[in-house]
Amino acid sequence: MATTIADIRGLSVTFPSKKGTVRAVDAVDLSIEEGSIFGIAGESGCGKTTIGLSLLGMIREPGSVEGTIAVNGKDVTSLRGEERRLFRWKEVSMVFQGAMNSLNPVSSVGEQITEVIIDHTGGTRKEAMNRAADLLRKVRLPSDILRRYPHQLSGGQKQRVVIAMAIALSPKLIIADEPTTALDVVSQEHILRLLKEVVKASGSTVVIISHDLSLIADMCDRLAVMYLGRIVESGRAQDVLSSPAHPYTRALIDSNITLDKRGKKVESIPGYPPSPINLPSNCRFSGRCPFATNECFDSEPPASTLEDGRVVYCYHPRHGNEGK
Amino acid sequence: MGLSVRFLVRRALYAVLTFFIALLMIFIIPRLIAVSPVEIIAASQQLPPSVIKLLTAQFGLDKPLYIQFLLYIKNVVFTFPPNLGFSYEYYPQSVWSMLVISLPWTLFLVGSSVAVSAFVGTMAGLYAGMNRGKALDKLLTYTSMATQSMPYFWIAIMFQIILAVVLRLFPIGGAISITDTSPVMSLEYIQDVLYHAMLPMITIVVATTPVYAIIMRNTLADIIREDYMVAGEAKGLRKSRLYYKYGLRNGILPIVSLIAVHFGYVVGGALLVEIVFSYPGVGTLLFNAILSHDYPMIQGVFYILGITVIGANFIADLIYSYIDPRIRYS
Repeated sequence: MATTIADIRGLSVTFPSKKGTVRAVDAVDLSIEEGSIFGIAGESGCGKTTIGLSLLGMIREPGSVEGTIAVNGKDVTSLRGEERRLFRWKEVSMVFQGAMNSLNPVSSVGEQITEVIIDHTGGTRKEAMNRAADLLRKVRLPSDILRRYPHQLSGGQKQRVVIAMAIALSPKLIIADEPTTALDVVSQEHILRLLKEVVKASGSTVVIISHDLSLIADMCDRLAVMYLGRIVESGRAQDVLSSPAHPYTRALIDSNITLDKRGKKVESIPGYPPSPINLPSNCRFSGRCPFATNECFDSEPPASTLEDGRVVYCYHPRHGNEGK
Repeated sequence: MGLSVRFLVRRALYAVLTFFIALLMIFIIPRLIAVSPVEIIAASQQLPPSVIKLLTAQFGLDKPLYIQFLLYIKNVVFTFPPNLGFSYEYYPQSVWSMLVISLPWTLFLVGSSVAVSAFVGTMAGLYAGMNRGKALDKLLTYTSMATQSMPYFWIAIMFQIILAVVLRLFPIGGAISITDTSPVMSLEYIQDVLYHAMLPMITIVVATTPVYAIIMRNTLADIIREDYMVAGEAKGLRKSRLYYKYGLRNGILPIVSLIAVHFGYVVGGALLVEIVFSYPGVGTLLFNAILSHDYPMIQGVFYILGITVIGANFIADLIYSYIDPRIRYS
């Protein structure tokens, strides 16, 4: 029986705005098993990144967090001050979306890797430098990169530096937020392989946040699909992707461009998601769902568990799979 | 360090070119005034035409304009000390000898005030910017609004009335009270100088500190949203590192430019303050020169001003390249 490394219960993250309160994440339950690779999929603005930041205790004011987040037995939402500072990166680290901009432009790579080691473990600069060179070797970068500045590196090199930084303190959990979006296809492939390898070696648990289902299919054991701040379907990645139960998951798969679909029409999802301000109290996907019935427009569907252990929030799970 | 030589050479050439354009303007502007100095002398003294011709030749005004300019360049650039001519007002004192007396006072006054306000303002702006919407941030925003709506000279006059006239804490004006003794670096002399400089300094500091603070704060407002700041926070770095290596290092470039600009105020900004406190600096010199139509003196002050501004900007460029590796290696 695998242990749970991260457990999220009833998580809601809200941000006040001029037009009203934005519910970026709404009543989400998630549990992530130790040593697994967990995927969170969904389109832009569905709350994927916000969940990632919540796991680090990084929701800035005026945003507010409700519910509980337990990582490695620690309640993240109650951490404050020095305790929170030391929790960050030591327990949970992150490969940020757009690694290009997540490096400090005025510091060298060496400084940026060593500073995190020094600020957490208090060792000497020399020890930290040796460790940094070690980390670069792990991500297959030559050690002279340590003296370089971010603007002197290529996109792929920066991404490797960011990964090296994420594993610097051997954290329990690594969140990779769109780890390959800004890279060309060849580098994407390299980075993913590297990420998988590095993670396996370190024994960390990884959460991959992406809109790219083929990437998630490639990498993840389990998967949660999000729509407008809610999880609509979650289960084993293989099950979810081979026979999606929620119409939104189905639509997301159909809109994905892959080589084996060459010649076929790529389906886009009609309409736009409703505004995260004043969320509807019915099924959030009902306005765009081809299978929506009256009850979908009236009330929110409860969770139902399918025979393969998958959880889906839909009145008509598996609808529309026939004939596909 | 790997400072790019090409960058240095390019900046130096740019500074030299700017200096020559400045000289050209300093040279041309008085010549745009239709009346020549010879005519002024002739009108007041009823001189015969032969003497007028002689004077014109002596001033070099009979030569073509470009020869006059070359002579001017030779005098102010390739002669040391620069031959800036004689003051009309304080004849036979040369313009240079007057500048040499006034310049140290202004450099001392403006230099120390700018150093204090740049440091205090930047730090206040850094803490306000990193703690947006908190008490210090609000205090800073309101005080800067208040001081920026008050003119320089008005602040000077208020300080003079309250601190010097009413409370008698500081002298009303001047730079030293012991004029008879030679400026030996005795403790008394230094005390006296500081005592006299205090009010003009406070005025400049009060007027310019909020400018630094607000610029730093507003630069940080953009920087704090950058991915690398979020990443820095997520990395659980110490607060001091986040403030200085992330916030300050990335937000300080506009501050460096502002310091260079404020050095341009060696004359401009300090002018009114110097006049209010009768401080014997370059500002007062310029003010008196304008009142008495002392053209060589005015030209001399602009010459010094040009060198200061261009020099300060060149140094700012060097500091830029030291701070920002993207400039250093470009």
